[in-house]
Amino acid sequence: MNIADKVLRAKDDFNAVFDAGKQAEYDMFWDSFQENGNKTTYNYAFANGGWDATTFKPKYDIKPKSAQYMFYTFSTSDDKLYDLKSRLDSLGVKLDFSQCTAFNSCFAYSHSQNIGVVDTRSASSITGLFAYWGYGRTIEKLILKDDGSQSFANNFNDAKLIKHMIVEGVIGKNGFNVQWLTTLDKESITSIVNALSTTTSGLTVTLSKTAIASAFGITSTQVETPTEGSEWYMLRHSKDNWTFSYV
Amino acid sequence: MEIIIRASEGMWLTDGENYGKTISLAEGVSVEAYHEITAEEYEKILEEQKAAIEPM
Repeated sequence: MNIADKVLRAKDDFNAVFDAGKQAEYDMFWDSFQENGNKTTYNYAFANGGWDATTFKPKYDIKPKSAQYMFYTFSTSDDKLYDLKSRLDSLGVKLDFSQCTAFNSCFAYSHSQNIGVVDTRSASSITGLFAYWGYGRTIEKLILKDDGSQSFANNFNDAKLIKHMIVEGVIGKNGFNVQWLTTLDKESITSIVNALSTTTSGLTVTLSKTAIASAFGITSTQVETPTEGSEWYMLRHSKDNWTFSYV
Repeated sequence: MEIIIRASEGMWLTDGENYGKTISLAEGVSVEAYHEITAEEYEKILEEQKAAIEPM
C-alpha cells in the first residue's frame, strides 16, 4: 500500500470510528432519555428552546401516558422542526397519544407549526392543549371520546394561526372555544359542528364569525342569521340543541 | 324560531361560562340566561385563563 492509499485508509478508519462514536453517543442519550422505548411520562420532555434537527432525533416511538407541558415553548430556529409531523415521519417515529390521560398545556407556546393526530380518548379532561400556540397551523386530527364525556378548558386561547383541524368524536360539554381561529377552513368547521352531541341540551360552542364567513363564502350577517337552505344554515341547524356563540 | 342576541358596543355576552359577541340560542334556552360584561372584565377573565395554563 503506498502512502496515499494509507492516508485514505486512515481517513476511512477515522471516519468509521468517529461515526461509531457519534452513534454510540446518540444511542446512549436516547436509550436513557426514552428508557429504551418504555418511557411513558413525557411531561416537559421537549419543553423550551435549543432544539434543532441534530438534537431532536427521538429513537423510539413516543407513547405518552402523561404529556403535560410536553412541547411547552418548544422553540427552534431550525425550519426542519416547524413541521413536527413531517420531522417525526422522516425519523420513522410515531407520536401516539392514544394512551395519554394528561394533556395539560401540551403544545402551549410551541414553535412547531404542523402536528399529526392527537388522540385524546384516554383523557377525561383536556386543558390548555393548544393554548397560545401562536405558530400552530395544522392539526391533522383531534380525536375526542365517543361518549361526549370530556371536559374542555382554554384549549385554543390565542392560537390564531390554526387553519386546519379535523375533529372526530363527540363534543358533549361546554368549553369548546375556537373563537381565535379566524382562518379555520370549512372542512374543520364542519367537523366541529358535526362533532357536537345530538343528545345534550343547553350547551354552547364558540366559533369565529370571520372563519365561518370566509369558509362558507357568506357575510357576517349571514353567519348570525343564515339564509334558509344555505349550507351554513343546514349545518348550524343540524344542532339546534346547541347555542352557537360567535366572536 | 331562532333567537339571536347581540352584545352592545364594547361589551361581551356571557352565561357565566361561555362568552361571545353574538349568541344564537339553542332551542329552549332563554335570553335571560345571558348578561353583558365589559371588555375589560372579559380581558381579566382571559388573563386568568392564561395564568391557569402556565406551569405551577
